[in-house]
Amino acid sequence: MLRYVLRRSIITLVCLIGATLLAFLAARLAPGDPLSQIVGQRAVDPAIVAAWRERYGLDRPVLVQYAIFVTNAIRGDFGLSYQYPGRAVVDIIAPAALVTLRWQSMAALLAIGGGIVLGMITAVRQHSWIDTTLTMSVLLGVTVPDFVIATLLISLFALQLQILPVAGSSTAAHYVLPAITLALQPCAFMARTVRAAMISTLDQDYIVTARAKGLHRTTIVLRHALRNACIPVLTIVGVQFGRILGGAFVIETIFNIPGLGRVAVNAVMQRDYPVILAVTVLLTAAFLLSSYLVDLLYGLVDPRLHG
Amino acid sequence: MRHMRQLVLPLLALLVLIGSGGCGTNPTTAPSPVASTATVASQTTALRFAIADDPRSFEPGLSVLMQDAQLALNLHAGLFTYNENSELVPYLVKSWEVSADGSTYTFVLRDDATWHSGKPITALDIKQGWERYLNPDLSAWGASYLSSIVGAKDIQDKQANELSGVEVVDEHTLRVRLSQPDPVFIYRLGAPPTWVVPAEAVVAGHPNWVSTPQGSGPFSFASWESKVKIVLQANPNFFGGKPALDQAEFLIVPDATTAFNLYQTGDLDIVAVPASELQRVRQDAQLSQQLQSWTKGQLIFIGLNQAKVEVFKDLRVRQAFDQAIDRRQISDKVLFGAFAPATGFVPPNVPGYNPELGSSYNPAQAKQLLADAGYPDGKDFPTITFAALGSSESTAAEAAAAQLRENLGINVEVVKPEPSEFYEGLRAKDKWDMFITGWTADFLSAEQWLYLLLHDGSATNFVGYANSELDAVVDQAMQSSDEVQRAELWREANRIATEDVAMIPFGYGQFTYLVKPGVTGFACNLFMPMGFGNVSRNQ
Repeated sequence: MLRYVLRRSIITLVCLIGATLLAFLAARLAPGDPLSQIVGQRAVDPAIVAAWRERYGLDRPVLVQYAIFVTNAIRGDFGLSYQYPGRAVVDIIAPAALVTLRWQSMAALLAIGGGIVLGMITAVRQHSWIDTTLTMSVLLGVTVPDFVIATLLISLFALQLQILPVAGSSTAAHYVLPAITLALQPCAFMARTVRAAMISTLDQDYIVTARAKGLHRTTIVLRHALRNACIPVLTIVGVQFGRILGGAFVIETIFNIPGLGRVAVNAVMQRDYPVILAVTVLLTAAFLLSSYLVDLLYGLVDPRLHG
Repeated sequence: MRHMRQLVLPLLALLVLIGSGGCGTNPTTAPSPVASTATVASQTTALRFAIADDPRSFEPGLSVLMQDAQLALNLHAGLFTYNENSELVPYLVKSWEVSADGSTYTFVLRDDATWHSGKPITALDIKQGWERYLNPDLSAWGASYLSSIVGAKDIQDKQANELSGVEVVDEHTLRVRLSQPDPVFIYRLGAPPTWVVPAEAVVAGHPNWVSTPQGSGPFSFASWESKVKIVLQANPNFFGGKPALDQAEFLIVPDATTAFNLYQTGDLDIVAVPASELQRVRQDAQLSQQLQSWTKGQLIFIGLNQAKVEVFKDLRVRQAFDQAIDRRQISDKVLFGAFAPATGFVPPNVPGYNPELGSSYNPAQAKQLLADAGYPDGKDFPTITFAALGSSESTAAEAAAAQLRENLGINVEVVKPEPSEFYEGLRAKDKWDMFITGWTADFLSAEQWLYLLLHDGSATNFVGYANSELDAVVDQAMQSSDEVQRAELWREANRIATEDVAMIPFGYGQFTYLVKPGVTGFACNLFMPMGFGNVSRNQ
């Protein structure tokens, strides 16, 4: 087990370094530099430009810049933002990450909980009107992009009915529409997967035996079928976690949530390299950690994997 | 199903817990930097306004973005400012004199003006503030406004720390010597990048400056929740009188459509109308009553890059492009009036403006001009890359490109690069054959278009245009200390540039805002929305 953990840790670290290197190079290879963005169309004294580049180390070779970044990042120092002079990157992304974690946890619970419940209902009530309706809804959830869903939800619940806030982050109610927007697609995937897995499990001999022994149907579903049906769900959770993290970029902009996605979009547009890199490190670490946890959970859910 | 309910109910409870766990009101969980110095009274008159992002800096000399300047107008004060009619008016200055040769200015400051800390504003504060902006280590954009002061270059070159051309005569008197006569020097001083902050707050080093700025304007800093909002509170000691509002709240909303939605739900009192919503607003019985527009000192222009595309050196080709584009139709039918069609290079209300200039849409004539230049029906004409930045400009570029293809038979490809790539391409002059962008005035002078964009010696002449006749008139205008003569020279320069189609003047920008009933006194001058010192709002 120790060897397994060690191997996973090394792989995780290599992935993390690889991701930062890719982000570092991608940011610098992209056309346009940070100063062009900040200055815009103005004519600026070359002395100002030179002082600016020197202050942020942009006058050094790219690989030296990367080495300095890695050295500092290990100490938890991601440097100063280019677009907000005097502000440390950590001070910008730490509060944003907390905001993102808060509303995305809500979305993740909705997706997982909703997906499992809907999957079970549609499996147990195959070909009923509930199954058909949910299947249609799932199809819509899978095919309609986030920004369309967000626009429809805002139009209906915020502008027409006025029962939920249109944007912002100051109360729990502000997170409802973004969480639903983000949860719909993974929830739909989850429901389809659970449904298929449940239908397959419900045909197994041991389920037939359980029925023959007179166990209540709900007990059979919840206690015996669901556990086996959860294995593919874990796979979906692992895959969808990345999507949920990525979803922050569009949804936080639409709903004006001051989270990591909005910070990242702004940083990319402004070529704020230190912020881009810090967000990359954070998101990559979150994704790798989730994959790691999913792997461990496999072992817990499926005893066959212990061997 | 009973078991289902057992499963679902705890799940919902958990969701509510997560959602409410850190939302909003608990200061310990609010995103930092939060620097609250004021307790918000329960009954306050507050105005809620949207800005696109956190400010780059609260220090006006470092401001480059719209939101920086909007905050600066409320937090800070300078020697001069611009009123609602875009006229230069004294602000911190009580009186001033100009020497006969136009190279020395003596300013007498008001003796009732104080910093937000209560300390009086002195001539030394102004001098030290300018010295700080000129220091290249700060990379302050305000430095370019002050570069004509004697000794400015020495500081910029790190040869001196003191601004030798500025003499503190007494506590409230400042004498400024310029390296050469600069008739619009005081007009530059009306722009926020020249406005200074208290010396002890920044010069002596103030670790919290970034999050607790000080100034001298009608509002003082109250709190800042990064990426959420900035709250300013009325300054009761403001030399111009205490504002009617108790608070001004700047909600940070990067997306224009989201801001528009927030206005509709009553979360904002004033909002800029996105071009995509203009038609709907005009047709809406309620919203149309709240719509207000002001002329903006902005020229939207199409650059024909002569430095890259040889054929653009031919006047007939430039004229053909000019007359093949129907500005009126694009403005009215495509952009729903977001721009007014331009007649020249100087926008309305700026000395030098002339509504009689400009060509009219004439596709037949355009086609003939292109044929005369050796490209009948656009045959053998090189493919043109047309770059656009901004959503309205991109829409305009698509429409203009379609008209060029149809009317001239040429191939035009529209590209929409990211801002930094677009700006780099402009500076390098080797990437975009043609581009559309806007150029907004920072202070009241036509030099901002006719010199900066078109003079052969300007670093921001992005199209490589050279016309010695224009340059001579522009140089004369910039030296003239007679305002009437200067305006006439700018009119002449505008005529030369327009008739020579130095570029295609496409449109004049407009500020278009929705303002809630009960909010009075909100206005924009040519440069930006005015500070909220004169705004009031019914409870």
